[in-house]
Amino acid sequence: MKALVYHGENDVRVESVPDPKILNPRDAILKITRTAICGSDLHLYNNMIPLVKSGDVLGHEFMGIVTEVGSEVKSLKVGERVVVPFTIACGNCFFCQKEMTSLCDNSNPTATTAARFYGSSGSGLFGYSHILGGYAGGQAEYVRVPFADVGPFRVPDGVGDEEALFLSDIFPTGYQAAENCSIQDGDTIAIWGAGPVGLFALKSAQMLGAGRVIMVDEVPERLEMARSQGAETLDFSSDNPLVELMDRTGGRGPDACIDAVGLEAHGTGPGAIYDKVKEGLGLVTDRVNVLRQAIQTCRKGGTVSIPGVYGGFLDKLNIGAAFGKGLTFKMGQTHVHKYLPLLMDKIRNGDIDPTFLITHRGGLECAPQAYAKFAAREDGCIKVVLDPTLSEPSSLLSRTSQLEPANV
Amino acid sequence: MQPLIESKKNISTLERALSAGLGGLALVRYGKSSVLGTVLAAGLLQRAATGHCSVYKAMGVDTHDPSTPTFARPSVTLTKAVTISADPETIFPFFSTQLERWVELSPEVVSIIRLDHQESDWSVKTPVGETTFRSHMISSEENRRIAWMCEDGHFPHSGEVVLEPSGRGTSVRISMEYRPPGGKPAATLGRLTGLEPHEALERALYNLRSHLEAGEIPIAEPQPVGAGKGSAQ
Repeated sequence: MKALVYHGENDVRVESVPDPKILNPRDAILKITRTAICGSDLHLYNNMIPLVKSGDVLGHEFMGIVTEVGSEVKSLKVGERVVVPFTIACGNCFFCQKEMTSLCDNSNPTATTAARFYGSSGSGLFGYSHILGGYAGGQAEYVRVPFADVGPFRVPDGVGDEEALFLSDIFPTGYQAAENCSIQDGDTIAIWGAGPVGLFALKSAQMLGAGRVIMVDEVPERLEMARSQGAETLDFSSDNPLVELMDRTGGRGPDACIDAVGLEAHGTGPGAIYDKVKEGLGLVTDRVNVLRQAIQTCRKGGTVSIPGVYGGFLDKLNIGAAFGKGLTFKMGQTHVHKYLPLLMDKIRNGDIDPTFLITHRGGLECAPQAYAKFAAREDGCIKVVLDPTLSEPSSLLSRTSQLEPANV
Repeated sequence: MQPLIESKKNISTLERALSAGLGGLALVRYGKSSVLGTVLAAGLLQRAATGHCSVYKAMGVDTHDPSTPTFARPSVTLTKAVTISADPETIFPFFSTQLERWVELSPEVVSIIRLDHQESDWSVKTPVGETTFRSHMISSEENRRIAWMCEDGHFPHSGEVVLEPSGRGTSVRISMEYRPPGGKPAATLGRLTGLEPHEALERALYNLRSHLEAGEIPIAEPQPVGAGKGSAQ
């Protein structure tokens, strides 16, 4: 089959690889009908995540048609159309039983390595390093899905592939980020990063009763999309978020702050320069500028919610401000399984059309070009959706062009 | 009165004479020109005078007493616990009547032959090749505790498993004591590099948990891999 393969920093290629096979009784194989490139894939692309190997198949946002099931998969049939959570979960352990599926005890084959880094291991993930399982990802024609009796979620008739696709990660991730803010009616929420997760956090915060959402970014197309979805915006390249956010909230600060950026934060202030210099010297693992701003501006007793990925040790984090203001922190990978039924209902009921943020479409061969565009924020690139079922070579098309709908 | 310097002899007479000679040579050659040379000379002369070497002590090496092996190999203890959502009655057989199951659960275990209810022959992979040993069960308390010992072979060790029910299943705690070649420094180095039983033990316990809770052990390979496979970035 064809798959998108990692070869090193800023080097991904589409090539022929062996087809996946059923390895365990609870496995299934999917023919992928839609797959997307996630912002967190760019952390791999930019070589910010350790233990990614040349030859690894990437991709953790995908959906498709079941083509084969293992002997213990009774709840899924060949031919069913499903969307798959990027977090792999057994469904039986202490954490799965409490709906904390991204912390599953039994889905990471490289759990001892993760435990060396973090004390304990979270769940395995598709296509996301040999710390988090080393599983082949879904930017491919086919994928093996472990614990397929628990993860894959049937897509009802009437819901298209592209509408369902983002339930694999970014929609639940944005929703969890907003839910973690414990939003009260009328609250003001600040979100750093108007990328896909930030935009879904915006939509979710609105659903959960936020009065105002202020989105912080510098990319004009992203700020424009945030405005079109009902957010106020703040361009950090011209306005200082530390001053501006306090000013816009009457000196009190946002009730909750969402860091939808994570370890590759950019910025213009002294903190951002400090991070960049230390990163250049190899002295820090993560650029923490956004998190510092979120802590500094959050109102007393507020919540800092972190869906953005961090991987290592944070430098000069203003934990004193967090303590002084009695802040609550909520973070971590998304418990996707928990949110799927609720969010699928919202899509089916027409409460949200998740396709609003798709800017680019193409076949699988477009993936290397799409990674480069997405990483450089070129051509207004916010979200790329790939269709591996296209048999003819295709070019990467911007949002004005539509693909023929497949398997809808 | 406690001596200021541990003076138990652990160096042979021949080695003391060699240390004296080398120490004297170092003092004459480097004593005036180099601080490092002076320190080296002083160390060698002290080694010759006292017959004691701190480095040997740390490594468990003794060339003085002919009744002890050169590498006395002080023991290293490792413990690991996991909580498994199963009752002790389900878990205990893996350590008693169903020992052979560890071949499925631990990639390092090649074969287990149970000779009777007390003895079993194990063949395991180690970083330096395959090794075999015979394990003797020395005490057992049904569904609660089991202890074993292995005195022969290349991996002399003793171990104990304690099962304790808790509100969240059963805590399974394994303690093992073994004598690594090279003593504690080698064991520490081995742990840092992964060439030591700690990681194998941890993986085996995780796999037991996955087997009992999820019904299977998570694996990722063999799987689709592209060209240039295997080199970590």
